[in-house]
Amino acid sequence: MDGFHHCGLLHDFVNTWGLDHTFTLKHYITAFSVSWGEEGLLWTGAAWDSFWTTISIATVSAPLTAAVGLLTAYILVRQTFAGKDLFEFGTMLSFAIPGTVIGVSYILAFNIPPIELTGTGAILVLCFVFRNMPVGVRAGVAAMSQLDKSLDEASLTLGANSWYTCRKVVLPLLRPAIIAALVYSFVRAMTAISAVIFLVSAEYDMATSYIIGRVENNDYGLAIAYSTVLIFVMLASVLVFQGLVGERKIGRREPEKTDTPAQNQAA
Amino acid sequence: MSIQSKAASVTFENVTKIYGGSVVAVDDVSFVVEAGALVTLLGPSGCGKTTTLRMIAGLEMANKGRVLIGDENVTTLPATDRDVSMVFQSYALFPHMNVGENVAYGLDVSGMAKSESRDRAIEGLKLVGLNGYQERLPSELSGGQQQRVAVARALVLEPQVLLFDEPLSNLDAKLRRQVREEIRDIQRNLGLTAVYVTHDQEEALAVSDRIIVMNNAVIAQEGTPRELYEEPADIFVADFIGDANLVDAQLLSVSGDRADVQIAELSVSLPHRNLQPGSVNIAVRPESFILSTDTTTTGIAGTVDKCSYLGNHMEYSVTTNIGELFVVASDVVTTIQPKTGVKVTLANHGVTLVANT
Repeated sequence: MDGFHHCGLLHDFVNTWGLDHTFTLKHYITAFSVSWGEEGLLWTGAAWDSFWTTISIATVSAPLTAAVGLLTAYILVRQTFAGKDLFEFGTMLSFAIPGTVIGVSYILAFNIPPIELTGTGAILVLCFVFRNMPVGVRAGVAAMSQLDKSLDEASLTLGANSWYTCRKVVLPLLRPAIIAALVYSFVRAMTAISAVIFLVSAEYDMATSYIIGRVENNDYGLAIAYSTVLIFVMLASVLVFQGLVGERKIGRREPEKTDTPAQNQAA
Repeated sequence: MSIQSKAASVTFENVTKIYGGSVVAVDDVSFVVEAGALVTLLGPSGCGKTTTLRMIAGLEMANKGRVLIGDENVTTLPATDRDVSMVFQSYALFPHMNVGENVAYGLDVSGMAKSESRDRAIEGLKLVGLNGYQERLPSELSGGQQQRVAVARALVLEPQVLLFDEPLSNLDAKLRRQVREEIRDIQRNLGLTAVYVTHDQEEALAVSDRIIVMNNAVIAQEGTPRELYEEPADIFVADFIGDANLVDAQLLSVSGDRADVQIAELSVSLPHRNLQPGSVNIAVRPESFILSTDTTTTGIAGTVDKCSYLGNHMEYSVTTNIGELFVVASDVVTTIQPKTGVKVTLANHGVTLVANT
C-alpha cells in the first residue's frame, strides 16, 4: 500500500512516466500556476476552476450534511413516534444505493419542472447531503445515546427550553460526533465520483471528474499532481474542522493531588 | 443577598398516569403537601413514587386529575415553565461546565446579568459548604460533593417546590447520613417545600415531616413517621417500614379503646384499631420480642436458630409454634447461642393489631 502511494507521488515529479524520467515540477505548474494580472491574482493553472468549485461545494455541503445527520439523530434518540424503526432504516438506505444509481435518478427527478436542478451547484450539494448524511446520523446516535437523559431533564427543570438545552448542553457534548460528521462529509464530497460524474456540468465541474477527463487524455502527470494536492487539502481540512469545532472538555479524575488546606476544610 | 424561600403547597387531585395505554403507573392518587414541609414518597420499586415526582416536576403529564402548585393549576404546564427544581439520582451535572457555571445555569437561562448570577451561585455554594470550588469540573469532585453541587444548583432558583429523586442512592452508607442531615437542615432553615422520593425507609423516617407510602400505583398509608411505624394501616406498610413479625392471634373482647388479644400462651391488651373479635394479625417489631433463657417463665416456647452479632445489637432467628420470629436484642454481652431453648414475651410497645387486607 505504501509502495503504491510512493509510486503515485513519484509520477508527479518525472516528465513522462515510463518514457522520460527527468525530474520536473512542470505538472504542478500546469495545474496550479498563479500569476499577477491587472486586477490582482490570476489563477492561470488548468486545475483552479474545478478546484474552487469542488472546495466551495464541499464547504457548503459539509455543515448541511452534519446538521441534517445530527438533527435526525436527535429525533431518533430522544423522540418516540410511530414508524420510527422504518424511518431509521430509511436513513441508512442512501448509504446502500450505488452512487451511479443516485446520480442517474437525480437527473431524472430534477431535470424537468417543477424542480429543475440539473447543471446547478444545488443538485451537487443535495446529492452530497443525502448520500453522506447516514454517517452523521450514526455518529450522532452513538454520541447522544451516551448522554444521560437526566441531563436534558435537569436543563428543562432549570427553566431552559429545548433549543437552549440543545445549544448549551447537547451540542457541546457532541463535539466529537460533529467533527466526525463534518470531516467525513467534506472528504466524501471532495472525492466522490460515481454520483458526481452524472451531475457535473460546464459551469460546475468537480475535481474528480476533471481528473478522470485528464487521464482519458493520457495526461497522467497533471492528474496525479492534482490528486496529490487534494490529499493535502483534505488533511488540512481535518485540522481546520477540529480547530473550528473545538475539543470537548469534560476532564478526567487526576491521580491523588497533594492536600491543600482549602480542600481539607471543605471535605 | 441570600437565598429566599417562595415555598408553595403541592396538591394532587385524583391523578392517574397510564403508560402505553395499559400500564397504570399512578392510579387515582390524591394528597396535599403543605408549604414548608418535607414529605417523602416511599415504596418499593415500581410503586409509582418516581412517576408521581416527575408529574410534580412536569417531566410527565397526568392523564387524569389535577396537579396544583400553590393555588395554580399546573396540570398541563411543561417542566420549563414550572417553578420547581429537581435533584436527580445521577446528579445530572453538566460535565462540560465547571461548578460555578453549573450552579448558575438556571439563573443564566432566565437572563440574569452574568455578575449577579455568579454572585448568587457563590451564595448557593456557601449554603452547601462548597465555596471555592467554582472552577472545578464535576469529574474532579467526589460523589458527595457532586450531590451538593446539584442541590445548590436547584436552590439558587428559589423554587416553590424542591424535588429529590433518590438523591442518596449513589453514595456510600456513611456519607448518606451526613448528606441527608445537610439536606434536612437546609430545607428547615429556608422553610422550603420539599418532596423526597426514596426506597430506603430509614432515610424516610429520619428526614420527613410526613411520609406517603405507595404500593402498586396507590397510596397505602400517609402520616408522620411515628404514626406509620407504630400504627401501620395494613400488612404491607407494617412490613415495609421497619421489619415486622406478622403472627396470627385471637381478638377476644373489646372494651373502651382497648382489646384483649391472645397470642398463643400470651395475653396482651392493645388498642383495638377498629377491629372486631375473631382471628386477627399482629405486627410485632423485632425489638419488641423479649427472649429469656429461663424456660420456667410464661411465654411462647421457642428455640434459637441463628445468632448474629451486629456491633450494637444482636439478631436472633427463633423457631416457635407461631412461626419463625426475627428478634433484635440490644444486649450484646449476654448472648444466647443457637439450639438454646427460650421463652418469648412481648414488650409493652411496638406491638400492634393490623387490619387484614
